[in-house]
Amino acid sequence: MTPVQACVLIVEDDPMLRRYLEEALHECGYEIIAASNGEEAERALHEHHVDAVLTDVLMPEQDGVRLIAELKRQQPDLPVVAMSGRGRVDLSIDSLGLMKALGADATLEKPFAFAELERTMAFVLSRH
Amino acid sequence: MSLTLLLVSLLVAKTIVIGLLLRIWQQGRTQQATLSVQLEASEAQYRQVMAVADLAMTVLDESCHVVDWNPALEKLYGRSRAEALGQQFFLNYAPPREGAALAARVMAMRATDEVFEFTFAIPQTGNAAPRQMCWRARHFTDARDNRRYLSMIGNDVTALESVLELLAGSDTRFRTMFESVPVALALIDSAGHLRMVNSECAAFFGFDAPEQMVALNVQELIHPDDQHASALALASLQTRAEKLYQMETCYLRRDGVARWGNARGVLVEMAPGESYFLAQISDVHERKQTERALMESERRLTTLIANLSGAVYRYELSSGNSVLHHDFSPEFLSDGVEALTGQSRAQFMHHDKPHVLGQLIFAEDRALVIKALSDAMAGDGRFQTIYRLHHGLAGMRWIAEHGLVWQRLDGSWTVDGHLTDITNERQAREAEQVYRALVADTHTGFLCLHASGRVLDVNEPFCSMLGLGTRDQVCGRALELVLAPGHADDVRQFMQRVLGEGGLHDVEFAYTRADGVRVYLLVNAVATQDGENRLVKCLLVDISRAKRAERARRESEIRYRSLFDTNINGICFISLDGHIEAANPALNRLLGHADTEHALLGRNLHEITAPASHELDATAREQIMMRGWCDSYRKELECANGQHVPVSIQAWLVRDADEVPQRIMCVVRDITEITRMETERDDLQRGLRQAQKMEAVGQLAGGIAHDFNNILASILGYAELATRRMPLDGDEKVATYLGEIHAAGTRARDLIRQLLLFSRAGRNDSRVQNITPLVQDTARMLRPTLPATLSLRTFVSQALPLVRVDAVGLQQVVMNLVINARDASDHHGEVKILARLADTQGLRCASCHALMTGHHVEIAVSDQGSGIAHGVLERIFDPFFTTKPVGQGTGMGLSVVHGVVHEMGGHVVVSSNRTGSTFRVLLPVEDEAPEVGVLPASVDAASGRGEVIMVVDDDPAVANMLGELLRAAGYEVLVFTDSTRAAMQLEDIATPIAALISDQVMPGLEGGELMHLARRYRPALPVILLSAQSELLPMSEGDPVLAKPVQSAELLQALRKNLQQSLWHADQPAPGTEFPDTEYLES
Repeated sequence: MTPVQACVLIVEDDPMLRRYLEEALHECGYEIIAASNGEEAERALHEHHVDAVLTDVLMPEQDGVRLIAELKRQQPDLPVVAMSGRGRVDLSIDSLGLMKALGADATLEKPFAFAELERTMAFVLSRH
Repeated sequence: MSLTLLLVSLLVAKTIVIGLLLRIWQQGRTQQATLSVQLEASEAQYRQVMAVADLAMTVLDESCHVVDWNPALEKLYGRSRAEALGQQFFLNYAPPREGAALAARVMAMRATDEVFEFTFAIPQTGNAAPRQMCWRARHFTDARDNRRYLSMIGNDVTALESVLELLAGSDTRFRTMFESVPVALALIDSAGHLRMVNSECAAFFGFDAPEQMVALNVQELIHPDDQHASALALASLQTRAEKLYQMETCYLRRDGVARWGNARGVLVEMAPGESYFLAQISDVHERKQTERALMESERRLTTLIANLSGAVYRYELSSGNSVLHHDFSPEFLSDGVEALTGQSRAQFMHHDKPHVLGQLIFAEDRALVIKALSDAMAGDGRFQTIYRLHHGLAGMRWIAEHGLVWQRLDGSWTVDGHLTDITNERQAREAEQVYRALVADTHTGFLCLHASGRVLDVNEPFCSMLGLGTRDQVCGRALELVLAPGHADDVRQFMQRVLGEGGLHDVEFAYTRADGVRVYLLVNAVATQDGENRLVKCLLVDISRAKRAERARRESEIRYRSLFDTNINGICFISLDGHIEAANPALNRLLGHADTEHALLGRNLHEITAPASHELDATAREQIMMRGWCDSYRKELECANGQHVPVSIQAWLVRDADEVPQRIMCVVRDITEITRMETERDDLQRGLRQAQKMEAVGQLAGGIAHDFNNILASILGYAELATRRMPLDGDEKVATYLGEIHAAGTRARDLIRQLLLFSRAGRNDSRVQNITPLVQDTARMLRPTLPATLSLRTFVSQALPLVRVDAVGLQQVVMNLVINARDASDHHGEVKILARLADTQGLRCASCHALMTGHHVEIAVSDQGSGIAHGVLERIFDPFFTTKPVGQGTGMGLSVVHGVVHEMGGHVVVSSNRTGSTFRVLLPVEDEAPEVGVLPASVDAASGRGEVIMVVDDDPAVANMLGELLRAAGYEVLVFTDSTRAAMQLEDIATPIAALISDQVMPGLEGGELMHLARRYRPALPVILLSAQSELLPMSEGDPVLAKPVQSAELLQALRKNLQQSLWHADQPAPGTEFPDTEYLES
């Protein structure tokens, strides 16, 4: 448990998975802000202090890819964890590899274990 | 008798008066005046003669009264001159019975001066026999009183002795007389020798003097032709059979010339037993010559008529009768009529019932003859006509008649004519006309040549055939000179052959006419004999057309032949019952026979057809017979070595000119290669289908994986959270249930992962490395998982070439194969792992069906199971295909092998039989050095410098991802999801574009097309195409193709490299733009 509760922005368009992530990260002791797309995420980032961002890569409205790229351009020090369940896009491009190339601090391949989520988030937050 | 009297008178009178008288007698009245003068002059001599003459001589006045009376008369009659003077002589001194008649005769002769003779006997006194007196008398006019007197000289022919005495007595005078007479006289003895001739006679015979002839035998002087007749006549004279010899005889003169003389002679008894022949010869040569000429002429005429062809006639036409002379009996008709009519001349000349020539004239021709004759009578008399005569034997003869009609003094008409049989000529002429018509109208050339080479006759076709002008220009000239140059030798040789060998000769000549046209002639020639002349007759037929047709046919044959012989397709002609009549070399070769071998001839197509194809042949045959050809069909033929060769057959019915089916022509194409290529193509298509199927499954898997993973993430996550919340003393069953949920979720997750592996989606951490440790580690790791009944043996070649592999992927592959081997072996026997270098030439991938070449590193896994069923082999790589019991296999094992191996550029080869199966994973050998670490994952390693990069991908997510990556790497990015719009942007060269990154498979323009289009405007534009394995790329060398899924680092590195190369090229002047404006440079 960290002394001061870190705030994690969750960006996930799948509502069921977003709720699970909120539950899981809450279980881990983080403060949670949730967004269902890139646009909401950006607004949340303006309104709140966020210590780390956990975002899905592929989302219909504001793409996670752009979000990550923008975040890394504007706030290179803000830890970003990219999640992806490898799917159609991965036939063309290694999406998680791309996230790393764009500066994502860590990647999670869906489905991931609670322990893996916990470890990854702890890892990225510890670096900052 | 008159000659004898004269001779006697001469002998007695011995006076010139007698000579004068004789001369008068000889020469006639014309000399009368002269004679009178001479008479006057020799009056005195006359008196003397009268006085002394032994001949009785008297002169009477007009009334036959005695004017003078010589002493001989005084003695004969016993009356003195005085007594006798004034007395009527014939009344007083001639026998009483004869006196008046004699007086009348003398009186009748008074007007003439002709000598005439008469005899009477003078009775003598006493017993003396009367004297037979022969008198010769002649009236004459006395110039002194101009009155007519009669001189009479009487010869007492009863007593010749006295004459002879007189003769002997007056030899000199006689000789003088004999000599001076102007008549040729000759005295011949009984032996035929000349005793005496006068000058006249000598002259006649061409002697100079009479003495030269004396003692000559008279026979020597006679022409041999007449000697016999003359001897006979003389003999008959000597036997007194004849009193007078008279004969016109041909004599031979001294100079050998024949001369005709009229010999008259008497036998003269000079002395008892000694007789002489006294002959007087007068020259009748001229007359005789004329006579002979006449006779000769007549003889010639007779001969002419006798020998004349046809018949000659003379008819007299009676007025008022039919004008047709032939209706009468002829005056004259030559023997020739027999040949004309078949009837003898005698039958026509028969007096009582003559055959009439006119009746033999054909009825229809009679009018013609009558008209000709009538016209002649009205005109100049000449006529000419042709008509037909019935011939007794030959049936009919054509007669030409020409003649003359003339009128006699008595007004009657006579016809002289000549009939000629012209049947043969006419027939010949008709034949000639027929022949002429034939020769002239035909297209056959005719040539008649003399053996000397001279043209005797030709027809117009001959001239036109040889291009020689008119017939007249050719006839009569030497053929060699007539013909166009260059044919003389041939013609001469041919002529020699025809003349030398005889018989009929056929020869073909190629003749080049003067105008250059070449004609081919068929010449039939034969040598014939026409009298003394040898001829060559030729018939010429222009066979140029036939020749040209023949040549065209031959050329056509050659063309056909060459087509047949050199055709790469087999061609054969087959009889309607299926027997091979001809087969070309290609077919022989195809079926394993020597080119020229006749092994196929006569064989039935059935025999060389693979049994399976017999039914096809039957169907084709039905089609051919029904519609003349058959659809192309495939069958198999049997080669000489028993092997079957696949062929394509096309066949047509061949008919003859009468449309009767004769045979079938088959074109046989060897389709071995085509079949092979088709098989290959089928394999390729199967491979492509397989690849596309795999791709589709991958797409499907990829499509659902994302959502599944989200779901699974929730399931697994909540299960974990729930487990964490479970109190230690909680319901165990709940804990068990949560565990089951997690386990199921995990299985689902694994399945999704395998699907993604198969579809090659996601991570690819491949690098060039040695696989030996990888294989060995995997084997070691696997061994504990295998049952003890199954042994695992590993054979790995040391120093294997390097390959590019993803270590995790390769481990997965080996693991999956060993697990399959374990299951196939039913946990018994041996599983073998072999790693070595292998030659893959000719091997084909079992899953993608691609053909391999070159060296590969092989990792083979073999088992000792029962092998893979034949039908199954095709589907073993399909996702979810499994032969294992439900629940024991996912059906993704070999699919993952396929996915991973192909991800690494390799292939899989499967061999299987009843004793086991072997899976060989073949990975291409890499020349590059081993890569120790992973590629740089940071964008910094290949950061851009603001170059504008165009990104085209129809998947907006992918396009965005790529765009973000490149932007992050420092590039300006133009992202397009519509390739057509991208193309428009590329055409706008104002837009600075440094490089193009494009997906390959897109709707609209594909990546390759877009690249070519871009290069049209931007020749050096670097292009990177992104392609999945199954997509076929029409790439040119040097264009980088990145295999999907794209690795970010790889892409950035490739882009950087291309941009650098492009910059390097951009420094070089582009071709054609080196000197853009020469003039400008010079100014």
